[in-house]
Amino acid sequence: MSDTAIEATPSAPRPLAVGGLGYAGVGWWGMITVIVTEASLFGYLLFAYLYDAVKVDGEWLTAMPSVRFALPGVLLLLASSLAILWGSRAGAPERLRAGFLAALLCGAAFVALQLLEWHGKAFSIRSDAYGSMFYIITAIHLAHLLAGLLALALVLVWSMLGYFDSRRHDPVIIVAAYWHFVVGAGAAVFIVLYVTPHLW
Amino acid sequence: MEDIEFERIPRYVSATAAYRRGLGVIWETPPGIGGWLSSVDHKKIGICYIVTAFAFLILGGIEALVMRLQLIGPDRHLLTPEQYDQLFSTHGMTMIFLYAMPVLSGFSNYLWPLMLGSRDMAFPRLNALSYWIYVAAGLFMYAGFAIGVGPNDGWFNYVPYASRPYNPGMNIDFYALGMIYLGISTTVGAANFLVTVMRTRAPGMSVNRMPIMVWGTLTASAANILVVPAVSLAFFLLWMDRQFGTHFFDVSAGGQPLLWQHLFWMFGHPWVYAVVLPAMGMVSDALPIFCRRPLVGYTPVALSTVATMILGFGVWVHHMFATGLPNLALSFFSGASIIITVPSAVAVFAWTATIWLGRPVITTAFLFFSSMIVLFVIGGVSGFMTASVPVDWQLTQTYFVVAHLHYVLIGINLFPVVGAIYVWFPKMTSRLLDERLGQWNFWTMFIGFKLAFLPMHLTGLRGMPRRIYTFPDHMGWNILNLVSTVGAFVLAAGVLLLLVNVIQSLRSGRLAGANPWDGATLEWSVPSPPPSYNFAVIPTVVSRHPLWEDRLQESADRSTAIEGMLLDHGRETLATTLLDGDADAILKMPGESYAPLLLTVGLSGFFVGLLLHQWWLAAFGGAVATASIVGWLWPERALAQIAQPRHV
Repeated sequence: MSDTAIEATPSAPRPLAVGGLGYAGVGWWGMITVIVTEASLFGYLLFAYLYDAVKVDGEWLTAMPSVRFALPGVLLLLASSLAILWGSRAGAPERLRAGFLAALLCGAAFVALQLLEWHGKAFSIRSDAYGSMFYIITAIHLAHLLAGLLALALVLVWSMLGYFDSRRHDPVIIVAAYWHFVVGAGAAVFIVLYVTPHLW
Repeated sequence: MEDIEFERIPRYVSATAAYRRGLGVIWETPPGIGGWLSSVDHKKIGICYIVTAFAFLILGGIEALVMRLQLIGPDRHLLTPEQYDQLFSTHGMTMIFLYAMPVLSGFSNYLWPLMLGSRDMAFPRLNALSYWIYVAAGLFMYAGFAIGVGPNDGWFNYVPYASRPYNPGMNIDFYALGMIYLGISTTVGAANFLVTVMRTRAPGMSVNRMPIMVWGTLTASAANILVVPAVSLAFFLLWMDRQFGTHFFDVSAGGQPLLWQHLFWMFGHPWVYAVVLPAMGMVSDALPIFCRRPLVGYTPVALSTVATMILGFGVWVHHMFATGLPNLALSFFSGASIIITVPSAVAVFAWTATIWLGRPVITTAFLFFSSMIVLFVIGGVSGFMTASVPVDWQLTQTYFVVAHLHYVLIGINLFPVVGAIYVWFPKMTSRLLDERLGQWNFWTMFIGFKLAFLPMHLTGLRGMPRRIYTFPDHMGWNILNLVSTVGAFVLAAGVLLLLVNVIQSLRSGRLAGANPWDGATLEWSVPSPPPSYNFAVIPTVVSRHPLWEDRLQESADRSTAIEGMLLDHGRETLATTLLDGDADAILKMPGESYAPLLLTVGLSGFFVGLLLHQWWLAAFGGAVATASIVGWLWPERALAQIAQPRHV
């Protein structure tokens, strides 16, 4: 073959999108796998809780868990998800930043409520299996939420640096998906830790 | 900085030397140690994976030989009970976690983009990360063994013996944290495989044209991201119990020891399939080359691969038949374990039919693949036997189970892997392995394996328990154990012959050319070793056997790796649609990066800090890791991740 270029034209050449592709990009698909594996983690975590709860000899709960902090917490999480949805629907950078900042503040308030709740508990992670489960589940959820807060902060910084427009905004949709997952996991944790005890 | 356009009509060209030179400049990893440490080339990473996995295989093999010396006859005391415990636990940990899965990841890393007609994996830097973490976690898990506190509770590490009161040393902590660390490698690797297969196949490679090995690794990867969290969580909870006085598994405070077994085997059994399905895929792809015909029953084999995995999620309790679970649970899991033989057997019939209907060429690789069928059937039958609850009650905890699991793991992992080395070594190195030495290699391994493990069925039926460090005379086990020990050394000699062959052939093996076996899939269309960019133009695929189309005459269409999209505006490859493999978008691919290595260093500091309770080190390592991730994910203009500056 010689070194000269030979152009071979296919039947119908058509333009293809290049690079940051939103829902067609690999970053988005990668986040789906992250969410699947992390959702599995919460599945096993809640399975472990319920397994120990069902199998225990005697009383599982030392006291009925109060929703004083948890209910406002989970409502804040749901509100943060709505803020993300509102912020990421439009191409406007101001609205994006407002939505993500609101979500960030809701998330931070959730962290504060969680710490307050931990502080006021009559039992510790060492008291019994219920105490161990309660603290480890809420702590693992909190760790995921803190990662989410860092990601929200990064999106805010990148938005202020002018990195996003209506075509290039992969981090926005990827971080939004992660945040919705963290909220969903928080809701699942709420149901198992605070609602199911009332069902038996 | 050059602007990246939003879309462009790719240039369709015929591959020429000039284009190849240009692509070489774009894709070549810089020479030297810096290039090696920052490389994201899937071929380099794949070979590193395979070499590292073989190093662990040799370590695990030496451990096995020491144990066999102890068991060569009755009342031997070469090892103390504690040393023996650490040896069998480390042997299991090494072979199952540090050899069996990583070696398959190595082959898949190397072969996938070449088979799929792409220029790299979907996430090249993530690929480097999964390798570095694998190495770091492997060293971490071996560090305890090296200083005399290796894991000592078997590879499945049951509580309460693994709990602090019964096991106060650091043994289990090394294992627990190391497994969590290794889990990160497995998970990111699996995520990478999944997205790669979904997004970066060559145009025209619809799902029904993917090589079976791709199906195997795809299935295993899907399983991994679903089940690895179970074992990571189990080890994390155990570590908490041991170090912080929690009570997850402590029955005196409301915990459940059986929770460990559930979490472990929910992971463990799917994992067993994950370490064999890709290897079965290699046989499905490579055995037909030596039978000179396509695989019989492509569709049933592909579907049964997936079906085996799905059923594999529902059989974990067959490891727990003797733990006093209710009869209903035992019946269900026994039934599921028996049914799973149906999809497993599909591949066996397909391979047998392929040999039967083909014109077999008896190469070393053919011998390894065809003998694998025999070993698979024997290992499958012994597994089928123990799927029955009453038989399991009789045989559990005996050498029968040891025989079964070695037939399965050596038979369906090591034998296909060695066969695969004979097949793809020429692609990786441009040189063929020596066939004469190869025949010696095969027969030594095969006879050694049979001598070592066939008698173990009988040893188990005669009641010898597993994991005992020595045994008394007059139990009727002496001769059987002697034969097993002799066989183990013959098997080891066989593996040694493989290494000799590899080292010799690297220097003076016959040159292979692009397609020494006349294979049918895309990796055989590129030179050996393949260039850094894999394909000069993105290939177009119109059938399952792109290089056999002239012979098979299935249709008038022809696949081509000569004419196609050039994609040379920096590192680029093509994204295609999920099912049909239609051209969809142009992906910008990252170049060399130190971020994966730096992240691994940070994580290693984090885990060492946790192990030693040096919280400052854990915090510092965590901070380095976080900073690496932020730097890694920071949008880059060259990767088209940043909006264009507004042109006023």
